[in-house]
Amino acid sequence: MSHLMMGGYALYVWSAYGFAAAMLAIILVTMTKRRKQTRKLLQQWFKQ
Amino acid sequence: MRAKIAFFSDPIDTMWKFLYYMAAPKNFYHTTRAWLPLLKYGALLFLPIGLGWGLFFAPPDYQQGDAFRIIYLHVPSAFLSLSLYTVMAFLSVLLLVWRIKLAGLMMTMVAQMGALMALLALITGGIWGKPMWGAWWVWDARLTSELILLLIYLAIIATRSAFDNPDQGDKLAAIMVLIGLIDLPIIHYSVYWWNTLHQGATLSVFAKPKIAAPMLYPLLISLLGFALYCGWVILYKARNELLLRERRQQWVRDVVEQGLV
Repeated sequence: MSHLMMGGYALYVWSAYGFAAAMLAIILVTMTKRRKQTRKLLQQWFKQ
Repeated sequence: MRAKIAFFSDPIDTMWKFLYYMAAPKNFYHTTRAWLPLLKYGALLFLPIGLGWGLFFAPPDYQQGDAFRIIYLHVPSAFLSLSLYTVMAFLSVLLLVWRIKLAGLMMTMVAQMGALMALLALITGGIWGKPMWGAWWVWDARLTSELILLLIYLAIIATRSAFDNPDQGDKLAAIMVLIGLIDLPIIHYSVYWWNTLHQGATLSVFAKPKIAAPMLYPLLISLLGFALYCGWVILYKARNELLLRERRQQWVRDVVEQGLV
């Protein structure tokens, strides 16, 4: 529990790590989504 | 004498051969497929280890207490925002001088990650600064020049996306990369040239680290983790864009049909 409190600086430490985690996760989600879109797009394109 | 030159020219020769081999989109795509899992699992291994170690096991700082743990995000992202720009500069030369189009594509992907790293550095720096300096932001030399770097990154990305023709867009972006390169030594030396609030370098090539070992090791592991993550994302996105750009080529059709997308 004392680890989570970060010596009183919990707000700052966890908001920094939270922002970083969110950013890194969103990057991964968007890049895989775009990949799937690309796959679909190319498959359609080549069917023609 | 001739034997001496041959000894040195062979590895360089191999390097150039490899570069020209990889400059062909089809070769690049197929060769880098094996690199992706290395980068991915490396990142997924080292990021949690570095950050977890830094958050829970490194000793607290005698002045800053636990607030210093933001360093494990701030330093890697700041460092990468600069080193990725250097990579972009190298790629821009490959594009403008050697006309390697793939370098132009890679440069765009690197710019995206570089911008995000600069953003992360600025935000984590501001969050760190509030309890330590009493301010979310100051117009100090390093902070200001890093903000300018973010703006340069955004300008490069915006310029590139303004062009439908990727060849033209990449070339103009490449020129902008080289113009913006001046910001890098300004950021790096800002803490020496000016009387700044931001502290000086903790790590340098020539001096011993100014940070205690139990705090240093998770920092280096975090840095490695972030670097591998950036490498993974850049390569992943570049391969994706390459398929789109080269869709008129037979090799792309083969890749799609073989399910290797």
